[in-house]
Amino acid sequence: MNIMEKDKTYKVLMIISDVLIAFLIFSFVLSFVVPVIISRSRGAYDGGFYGIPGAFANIFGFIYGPLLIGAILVILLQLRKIFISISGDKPFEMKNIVRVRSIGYALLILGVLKLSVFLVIVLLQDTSRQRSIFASKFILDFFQFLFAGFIILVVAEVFRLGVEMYNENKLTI
Amino acid sequence: MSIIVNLDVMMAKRKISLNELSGIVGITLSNLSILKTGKAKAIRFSTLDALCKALECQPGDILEYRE
Repeated sequence: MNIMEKDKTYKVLMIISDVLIAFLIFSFVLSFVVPVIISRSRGAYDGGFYGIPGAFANIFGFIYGPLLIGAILVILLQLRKIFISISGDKPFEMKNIVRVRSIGYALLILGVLKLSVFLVIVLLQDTSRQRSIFASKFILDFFQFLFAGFIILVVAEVFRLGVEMYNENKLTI
Repeated sequence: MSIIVNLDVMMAKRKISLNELSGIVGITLSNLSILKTGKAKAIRFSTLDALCKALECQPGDILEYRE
């Protein structure tokens, strides 16, 4: 890939990441506002979060949305910083290892978040029919995120070894 | 590290500056400086060969082991 193609690719990646980050920041703010609007318009016993009754649903929804969006925002911001370092021809630095690890941990947190939703739904749903419908949606979601998080952490370790080899090679005259 | 690089000693003996040595050997000034100040982690045989040729010395004159 020549310099012109590389610049174009990085520019496109930066634009995509900027759009996604802007959308997520907007969603992050919205995730605090929407549960309040729903609880005020429908009242406390509307089963507002996947059929979970009562005020608990609203509290849970208030925490779940921001945490989910926050974790995705962390991933996108770290990816953006990695793009910047690569475009500056400095991919092999310790900061990028920390960023890749952050992405891995954010995915693990997302997986744990999905698992907690699954457990809450199973424990607090009114009927077994409701439990089976909504639990089936989440049962594989958390595993996918946990799996992806572990893969990224392994990749970060391989990248760390690469950085060590690169630094050693830089000091070989 | 226990390996000492005595490049500055040999350069003084042969009365050659870092710039001149860099030009003769074909190694950048920054790399030669890394070598001279003992920050290098390893040296290639080809580099050692070029240095010995330029400074008319043996590898043992440039590299020393100290416990």
